[in-house]
Amino acid sequence: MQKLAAEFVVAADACDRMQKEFCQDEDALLFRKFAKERTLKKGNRGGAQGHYAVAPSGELLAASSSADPKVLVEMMKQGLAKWATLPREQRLLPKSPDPTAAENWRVKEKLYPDDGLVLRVVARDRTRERWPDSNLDYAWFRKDEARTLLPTELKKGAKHNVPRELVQRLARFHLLDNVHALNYTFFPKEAIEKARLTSTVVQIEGDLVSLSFEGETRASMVSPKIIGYEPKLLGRATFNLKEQKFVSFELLAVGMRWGLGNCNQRHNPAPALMGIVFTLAGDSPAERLPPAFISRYGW
Amino acid sequence: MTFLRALILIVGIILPTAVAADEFQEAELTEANYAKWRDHVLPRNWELSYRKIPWRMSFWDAVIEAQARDKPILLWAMNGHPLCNT
Repeated sequence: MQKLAAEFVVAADACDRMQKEFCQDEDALLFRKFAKERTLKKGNRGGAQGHYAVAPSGELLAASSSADPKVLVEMMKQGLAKWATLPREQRLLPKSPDPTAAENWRVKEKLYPDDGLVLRVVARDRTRERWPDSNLDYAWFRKDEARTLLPTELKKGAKHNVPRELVQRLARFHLLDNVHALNYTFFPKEAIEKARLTSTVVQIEGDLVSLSFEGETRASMVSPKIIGYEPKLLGRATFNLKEQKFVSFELLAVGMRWGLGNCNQRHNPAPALMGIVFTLAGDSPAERLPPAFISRYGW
Repeated sequence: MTFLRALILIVGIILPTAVAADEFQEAELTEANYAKWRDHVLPRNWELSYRKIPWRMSFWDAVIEAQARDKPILLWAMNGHPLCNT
C-alpha cells in the first residue's frame, strides 16, 4: 500500500469551504470540477468527503467514499491506471498554479502564535463505544494570553485566577464533544455557567516555574440543541521565565457531557463521562493547523 | 474520522482488537486518578500513525507540487481538516 501511495502526491484538506458552490477560490473551483464527477457505488458519507485520485488538471482518476482499506487500494490502482493513459495536456493545467492565490483563503494560518502557546486537544469518552473514539484539535494562545495563566507575582504558593475570558474561550470552543466527529455546535457566551481555572506556583527553580491547575467549567444550552459539558479541571505546567514560554503543559478536563451536537455523530444523548486533554503541540505542519473555531476567538 | 481506518491500515498498522472493548472505569477526576484519566484520553501511537504519511496540508499545495512533478494527487478531503478536527 505504501508503495502505491508513493506514486501520488498525497494531501489532506478540509472540503467544507471548497465544496460550496459560491466559493470562487482557485482550489475550490478545481476541487468541485472533479468532486461533482464522482459516482459512488455505496452511499455518500456526506458532502464531498472521501478519497480522490486526481490529476493536477482536475481530471478525476478515481474516487471512493469507503472506510474499507481494500476499496481504497483498488481506487488508487484504478487512479494510477487511468493516469497512465492520459496525455500530458489532460494531466496538467495549461499553466502553473499560482502559489500566492492561497493567501486569499489561508488567512487563519497567519494567526499562528509563534511566540505564544499552542496546545493539542484530544477528547475521548470514558467508555469506548465505537471507533473512532477520539478526536484532535488545537488551542492557540497569544504570548500575552499565555502569560495570564501564571500569577503576576511569582513565589511558591501564589495562587492566581486565570482571566475568565480565557477560561470561557476554552469552555466555548475547546471543551466540546467532538469525540466521534467534528462538532459544529460550540457554546455561545450565555451558555457558560461556570468558567474558573486557578493556577498555583508549586515550585521555582532557576528560570523554571512549576504550576498546578485546578478549576471547573459548565456549559449548557437547550436551543437549538440540548447539549452541555461540566468538567472538573486539573493540570500541571512548567514556564521558562528566560524564554518566556511553557516548556511543559498538561490540562485535563473530565466531566459529564450530555446531548447531541451538529454533525458530531453522537447518537446517544444520555449523560456520560468524557475527558479532554490539552498538551503542548509540536511544530510540524500538521501541528500548526488552526483550531476549528479560530475565527470565533476575536483575534 | 471513519476514513482513518483505511489510512491507518495503509501505513501498515493493525488495529488492536481491544479498540471496541475498553475496561476503563474511573469515576470523576481526582488527583489520585489524574494519570489514569490522562493516559486513557491521550492517543496511542498507533492511533497517530496516519500522521506519519507525508501529507501536504492543503489541496492547493499538492496541485502545485503535482503539476511540477507531473504526478497524480491522492486527496483525503473531509469536513474539518482531516489532520485536525474532522
